[in-house]
Amino acid sequence: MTKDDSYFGEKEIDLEKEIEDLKKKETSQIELVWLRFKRNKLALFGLGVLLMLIIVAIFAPILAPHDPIKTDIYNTRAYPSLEHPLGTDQLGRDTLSRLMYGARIALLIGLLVVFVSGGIGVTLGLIAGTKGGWIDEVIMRTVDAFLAFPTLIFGLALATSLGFGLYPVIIAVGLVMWTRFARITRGEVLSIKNEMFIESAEAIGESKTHIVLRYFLPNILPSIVVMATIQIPWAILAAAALNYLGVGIQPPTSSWGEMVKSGSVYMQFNPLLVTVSGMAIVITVLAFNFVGDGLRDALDPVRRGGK
Amino acid sequence: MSSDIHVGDPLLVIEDLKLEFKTEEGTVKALDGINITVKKGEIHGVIGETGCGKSVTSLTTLGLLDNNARIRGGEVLYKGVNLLKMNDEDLRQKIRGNEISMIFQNPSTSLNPVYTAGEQIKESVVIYQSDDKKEAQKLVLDELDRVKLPDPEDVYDKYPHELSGGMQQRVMIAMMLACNSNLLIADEPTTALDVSIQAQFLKILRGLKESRDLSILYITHDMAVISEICDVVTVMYGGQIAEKADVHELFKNPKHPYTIGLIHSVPGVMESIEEFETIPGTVPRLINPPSGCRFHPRCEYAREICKEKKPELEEIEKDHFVACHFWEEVE
Repeated sequence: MTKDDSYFGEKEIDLEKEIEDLKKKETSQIELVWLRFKRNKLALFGLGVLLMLIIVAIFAPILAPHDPIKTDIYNTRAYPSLEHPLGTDQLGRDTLSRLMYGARIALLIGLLVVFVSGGIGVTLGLIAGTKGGWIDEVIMRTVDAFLAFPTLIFGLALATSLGFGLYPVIIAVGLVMWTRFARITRGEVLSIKNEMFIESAEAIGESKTHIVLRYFLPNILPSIVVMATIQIPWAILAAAALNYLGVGIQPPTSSWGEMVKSGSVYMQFNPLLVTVSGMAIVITVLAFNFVGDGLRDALDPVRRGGK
Repeated sequence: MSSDIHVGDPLLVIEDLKLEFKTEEGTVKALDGINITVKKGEIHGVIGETGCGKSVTSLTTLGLLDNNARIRGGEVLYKGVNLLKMNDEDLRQKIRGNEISMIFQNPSTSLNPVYTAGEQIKESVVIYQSDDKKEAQKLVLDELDRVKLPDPEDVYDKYPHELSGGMQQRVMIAMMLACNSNLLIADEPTTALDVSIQAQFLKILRGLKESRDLSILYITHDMAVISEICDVVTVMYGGQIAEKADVHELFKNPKHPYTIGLIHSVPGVMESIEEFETIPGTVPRLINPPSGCRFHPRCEYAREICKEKKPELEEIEKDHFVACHFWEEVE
């Protein structure tokens, strides 16, 4: 730099003081969110439950006391014992082990469904919001059409036509749920579309794609993250419902939905199976919801108390 | 695009620009025959009240108008090329940032809230100077230092909301400077700043003009700022030009009643004024503008002819233009 580049003489005193003040309160964005999140005890509890669930799912082969698909016809519908802490099912398989392996399926479904539906929904929402005009119309009317179907029937039809197994369930539930992401994304895009920082990005000659990826997407990310945590339990529930109805994942692979179904058949003899598998679903769904609520409040204090 | 333009040559020429907005209430004639010439190395001030078309003029230059705007005539020539005829992609690649950059009114909303100050300046450094990561970072720190931000390393990692308004505005300038453009459009850049910060900001701009021969189109509603920084001033009223002159000439010898009103309504600019006056009435709504001279309902010199005939812009002295039927009587 030459001397000519110096535009004015002295650095100002008040600004230096300002910088000092800023240095003192070194709190990053993430720390701030965590501080607000911590205040919500339910959310903290939910987070604890989720962490436990994730550990159980990852280490299921080590933690599970038995092979989840090994049958024992001499010990069916057993009550809790030291060997089988939560009893056995109608084929003598260990309930606790099956629950643990079921957690893997449940979490996998939850996450992958959100990836699929979020991927489709956010992409289409971004396109609809930024392009506007007839593209916007086409996308949003498609969303309306999807929403007009009863979700479960639609999912059932999709899953049946896609065949059995884990991935058909994920694709079916994902295709049912992307509409919410599309709506949220489009709404958020429209709300920041006229912000000056978008205009100033245009003014320095940034490309359209760049503006979408670096300006729109990061700014709407908090809403999408919150949406995702609310959608995960939804996906788990929907998948469980499909399994309960007999489509999707088939025995002997353990899924919570399938466990509720087999347990309900002999509920009057031994209600333990249907109860614990049902509880597993309820607790997981609630935990995700608590975390989602906590995140929403922590990321956007303005919205607290609303909706 | 030729680059052999020297100081004093016209860089941006806006000629007889006419522009309308379609709204539900009707057509708003936002600009009606605007002529502005910004020369290389000159700070050209555009002044007028809210809604007189100042900002629209600048947005037209960059092609950033909303969809409901219709250009009804005129040309915007930059280095001899008509920007109005360029498509959006060409404007983006050849003009925006590259040749013309813009500072907006409110620095706190003009910065992307999710990136640090340094990251944002790096955006323009990477496009216009160097895409080498290490070098880009160093160039960003240079830019921050250049706009006199104390402790550039620290500011680099700050998010916009962690900076004060004055610092945000400097970050904005650094971001625009990093584009190395020839013309800077500043759209009321000091409105959101307090007076002491404002003075520093003007100093930076004037320094830039001198060291880089940067041309600046400075849009404001503040006569005091105009007197502080501009070389040439265009006074706009109701989408038309009321008066245009060299800054000294304008303050010494204002000829349009509106200019006089503006000067008199600022305390302290003219020492001889003991009590400041206001201009009666409000800015006309441009859906249904007043007939003849648009200023006539608020003008103390107005007569019959003012209601009927629009006054033409006359050159009353060298480089001093006035659009008023009775400029000779005005004092």
